[in-house]
Amino acid sequence: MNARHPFVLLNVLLLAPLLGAQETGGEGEETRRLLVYFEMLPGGQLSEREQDLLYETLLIKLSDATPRIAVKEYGGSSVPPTDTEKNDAAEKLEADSWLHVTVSGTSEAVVLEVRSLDMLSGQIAYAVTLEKELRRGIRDLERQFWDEVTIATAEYYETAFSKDTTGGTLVFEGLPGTRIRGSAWKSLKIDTSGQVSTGVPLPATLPFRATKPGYLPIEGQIYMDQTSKIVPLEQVPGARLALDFFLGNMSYPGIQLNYFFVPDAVFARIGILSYLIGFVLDDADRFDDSGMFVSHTLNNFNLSLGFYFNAPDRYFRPYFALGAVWRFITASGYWGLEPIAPFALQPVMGCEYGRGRKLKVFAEYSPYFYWAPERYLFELSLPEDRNPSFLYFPFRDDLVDWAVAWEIFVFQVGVRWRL
Amino acid sequence: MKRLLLLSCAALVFLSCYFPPYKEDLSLAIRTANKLERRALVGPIDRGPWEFRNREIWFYPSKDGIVSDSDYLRGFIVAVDDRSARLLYVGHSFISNDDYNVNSDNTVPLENSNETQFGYTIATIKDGSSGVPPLPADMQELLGIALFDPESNRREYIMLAENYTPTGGSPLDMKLKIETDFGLGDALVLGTSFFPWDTTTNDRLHVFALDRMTGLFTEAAYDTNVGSTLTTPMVIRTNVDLPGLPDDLSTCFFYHSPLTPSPRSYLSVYDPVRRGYRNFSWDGALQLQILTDMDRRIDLLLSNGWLFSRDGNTGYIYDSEGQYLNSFVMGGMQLVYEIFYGGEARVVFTVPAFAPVEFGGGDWNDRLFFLVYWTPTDQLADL
Repeated sequence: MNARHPFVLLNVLLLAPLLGAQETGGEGEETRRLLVYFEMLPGGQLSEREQDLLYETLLIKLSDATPRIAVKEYGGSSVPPTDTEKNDAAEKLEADSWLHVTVSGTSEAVVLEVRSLDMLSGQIAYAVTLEKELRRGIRDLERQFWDEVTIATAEYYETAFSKDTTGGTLVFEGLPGTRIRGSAWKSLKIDTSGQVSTGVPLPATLPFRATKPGYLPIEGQIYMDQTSKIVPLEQVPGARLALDFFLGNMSYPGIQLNYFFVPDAVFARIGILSYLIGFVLDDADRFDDSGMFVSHTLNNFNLSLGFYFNAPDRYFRPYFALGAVWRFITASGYWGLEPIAPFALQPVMGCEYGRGRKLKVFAEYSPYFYWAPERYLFELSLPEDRNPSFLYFPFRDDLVDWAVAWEIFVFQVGVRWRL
Repeated sequence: MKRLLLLSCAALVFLSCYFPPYKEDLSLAIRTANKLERRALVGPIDRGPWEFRNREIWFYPSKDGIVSDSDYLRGFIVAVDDRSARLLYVGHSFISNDDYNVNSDNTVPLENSNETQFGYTIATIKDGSSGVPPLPADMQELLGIALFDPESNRREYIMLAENYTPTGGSPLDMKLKIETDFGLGDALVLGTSFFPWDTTTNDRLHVFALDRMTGLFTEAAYDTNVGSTLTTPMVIRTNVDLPGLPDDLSTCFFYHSPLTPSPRSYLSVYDPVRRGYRNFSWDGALQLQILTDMDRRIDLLLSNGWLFSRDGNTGYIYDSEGQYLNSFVMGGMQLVYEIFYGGEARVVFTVPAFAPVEFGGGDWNDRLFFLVYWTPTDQLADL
């Protein structure tokens, strides 16, 4: 019941300093959360104002009874009829005990039925039926009207609290090797039995994160309201395969297949970037007519190994890979390795982003380090009028015939679909 | 999401002008060139941007120089389009620095618009004046062209001579030394070709002509000569009846090998109905043979009797009967001529290549290179 009558509310507020009312008991680690159910039984002859006074003064007196009780109000329209339903409602409101007060009778003879249940122990803390006279007014409400209730409540929960703070046992069930981190413990690891247990304070809300390489992490919260609780972890394996569709330097199509040795963590990749068809937006090539599409009879086959830096459930996932590239010509009269720079080393620094599990977008910086047995031939194969950026090792071209040519600006952007 | 799309579009514009470090012609040429002996790298030769746009570029090394020069090689750049050939002499200065320089630039009209019709044939001419540098001031480099002039409808032979820059003097333009017909009277010359000769002073030019009155054919040979005239023809055969040849011959690709034991002539004619070439050969007995297994054009008759044909990116080698022997990828590589070196016949290939060079202000020039390779003729079947 809420204080809806403004007159009542005004009275309560004016009386609050006299009553020595406290804020609803602050919740600390050792505080019991007591949910108050207050209802007027049918047939009662108290006015609405009297009902509101009773309710509000009960709340204030309970809050003042002991600092170890944090009083919560039940805001529902009707009080759950059974204890089980009361328990459920209290748990939803994160209470661990409740006090049910029913009021009937007249102002000359108010009948109060009071029951309190300690949800942590499952016991009735106390139950009492009282008959009181309301005619003495607010002063009486403040002084002694609720004494039987508040004293009994305080006595029980101060004692009960100390009995319940020995803690409970939390047991996780899952795949051996799973690591579980939480605020109430340092780090747990499930052993070969498939279980790990730890002592935890009681009651408490305990966030946790369970991780195992190859499986999707599990995050959650455990409401520890029992002396022993078993939490089974439903661990879902990560993806084994992923298919990439991408554009090389925003112009040429490519496709890659990723196989995860450790699902969603460590991978091998094989793919092809084909220059057979490309999309070019700049001016006309000097020897060809202008157009948006170009074609080169060159394809890059790549094979690489890589790993992700963070967990599979993160939205942003950076990764690194290192691999080799074979340049393959598919021209009329010849299909085979490109003879001037047939191989290249390719490090890949990439990042993928996606909120869902299946589809991600990614961007990579993936420069080529070409092996050119004859440097001057490689320089002659550079496209005219394109001003490509290369760095050669060794820097001087008169030292040796060969060179490693670093093609600096190479990017790949695409989508990754986990199968 | 909108910001991501905008960034992607900006990246698209910025990055989508990318070409890989690859030129098909060069890569395909190097594929085969790696099996040949590299004779020289000619260049760099700096020219203006797009100067040779829409022209096919050939490099003809000096035949005197290729057998004697060191790593540096002089010769002629021939840039051909449908109606003309632009001729530039490339010399090398041993005196001042290591640069290649272009000493002259001439253009001659010729017919090259229909690849199925004979238009011209070019060769550098030996004069025996090979030697170590510094070269004498009056030494000449010579370029011989047998061509069908589209303007005058003349079928003629011209020879141009290039003088080296005399010491302390000025470069001289290429001079026309010879402009002549073939000394065959009114006979219509149908096709010509050069043939290597194992001397230091001359090669052979072979000519096939038709007497339009009688319908009979004449085959003649000439020694390419540095003198002021093409030598008078050495008639191989005249008044020859070759029934079986197409009736409407106006041009043809003609080749003759005088080498014993079996001097032989070849004719390659395009058949528009079959959309391929018909190839004929005959010997001294005038027994006309149709090379039924070969439907590609004969591009060169080699000194060992083999036939070379170029089709797209590929070069093909056939034996004297037109039977397939071998093929190899060529790309931008060109077979320019055959030459004797130390008594051994060698085929000379060149690969033209361009490299961009910036000279300031964002402007670019073309920097030309020509890779020159050669190999014994007999090894063509093993490439």
